[in-house]
Amino acid sequence: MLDLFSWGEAGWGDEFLNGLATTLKLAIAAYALGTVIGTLGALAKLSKRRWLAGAAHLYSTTFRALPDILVMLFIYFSASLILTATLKQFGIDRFVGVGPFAAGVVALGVINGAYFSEIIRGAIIAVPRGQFDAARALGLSRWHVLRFVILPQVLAIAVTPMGNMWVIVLKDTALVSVIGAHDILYWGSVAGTSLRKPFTFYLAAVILYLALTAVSGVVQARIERRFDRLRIGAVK
Amino acid sequence: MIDPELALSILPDLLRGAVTTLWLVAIGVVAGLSLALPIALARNARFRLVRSCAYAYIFFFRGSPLLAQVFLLYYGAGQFEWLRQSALWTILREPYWCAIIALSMNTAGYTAEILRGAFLNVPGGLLEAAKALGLSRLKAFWLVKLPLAARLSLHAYGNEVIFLTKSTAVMSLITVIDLMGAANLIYRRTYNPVTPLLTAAAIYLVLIYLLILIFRFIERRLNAHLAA
Repeated sequence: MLDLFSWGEAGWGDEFLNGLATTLKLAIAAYALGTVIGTLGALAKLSKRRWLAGAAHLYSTTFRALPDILVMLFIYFSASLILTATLKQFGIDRFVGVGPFAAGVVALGVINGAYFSEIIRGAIIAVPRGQFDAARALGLSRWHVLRFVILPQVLAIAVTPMGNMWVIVLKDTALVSVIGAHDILYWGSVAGTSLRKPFTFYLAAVILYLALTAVSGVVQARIERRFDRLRIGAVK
Repeated sequence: MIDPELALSILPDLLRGAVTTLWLVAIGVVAGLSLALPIALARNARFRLVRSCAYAYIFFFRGSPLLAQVFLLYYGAGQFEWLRQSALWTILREPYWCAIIALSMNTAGYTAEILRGAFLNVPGGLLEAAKALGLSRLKAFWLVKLPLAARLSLHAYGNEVIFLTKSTAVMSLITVIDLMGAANLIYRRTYNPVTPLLTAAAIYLVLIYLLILIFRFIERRLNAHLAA
């Protein structure tokens, strides 16, 4: 049975490896996008401008309440239509397509950005105000305080939930298989259907995901240990 | 693209799908809780074999995507001739039943972890007091440990139920006609993706908001003794 997963024409090993690469690329891109959106969202939620905070809260509440598959299908089906129609307003009369990879990254980034904004906002709030005041009293400039006192503590508090989000994003990427991106689950479907062995290949896909999760857990524990000495003053 | 008339006309179909979604959630909650309790207890059991099995179960269902799990069950079951001949086939060939099984086992994995954490966080003094009062191990569990753990896990479990509700949408991909499935059908019929998906999204927002209100109410009632 192991020859089913070999390299080359007869085996699906190389396809699964390509799927693994695609899954990782998707997850990293979506995670990065989510972090950017989440940081901006967190800062917006903490802003003194109420309309900005309100808008950020609305965004985060909405995208934490919608199913991921719905957002992804909406973006995949509608993005092409909306982009084409919008560009037509500017006189560009071409069809603009959004591929499954891009749609997946945008969808996952936007959805998880909502969760990230809550995490980062919570981490920023959790650092005691006294840290900032004491550092300023010691003569540090605002930038120095942020960079060397506040930011490390924010990161230390946020590191565990951010690590959990990585695993969540990793598993969420499986949804792109239904819009045609060639990830792990996609190849599991294709191989399983064409060889009439769906259980074998879906099990292989599941085992691959479990391996990714396990490795991520080990790496996360390592990273958290590096941050342990920084968890001073704030509640974990 | 956004067609209010269409939105109104498809509302009955979508609401029928929403009923299926609610059934999936309800059965998922009940079955998930029933499975999660023994698994959470097994996580702290005396025998290493029992502990390992519980850990393996939780690792399997939390470490892989729900979509992969349900594909494995629904499409994978058909690979085995002996399974197709057996009595189980009447259940396993139905998408609705596979959805329920996959959802329940998946949420049981997450819920078991929540319960395990809650069990560990029950104040030891209260358990000692129960022992001092002469309550048997079983009575102390049912009357003291479990209710306290339930109250501690309420917030995290509320989040888990919301995740469960969102996860039911994935079942549309194995042809279950829930809210998401109904919206998909309408898209394929009308070639207009925006209106059905947006309308379904609105309904999901309403459902989840109702769930949040319910859990907030329960939390306030059960934690009334903590209120200022």
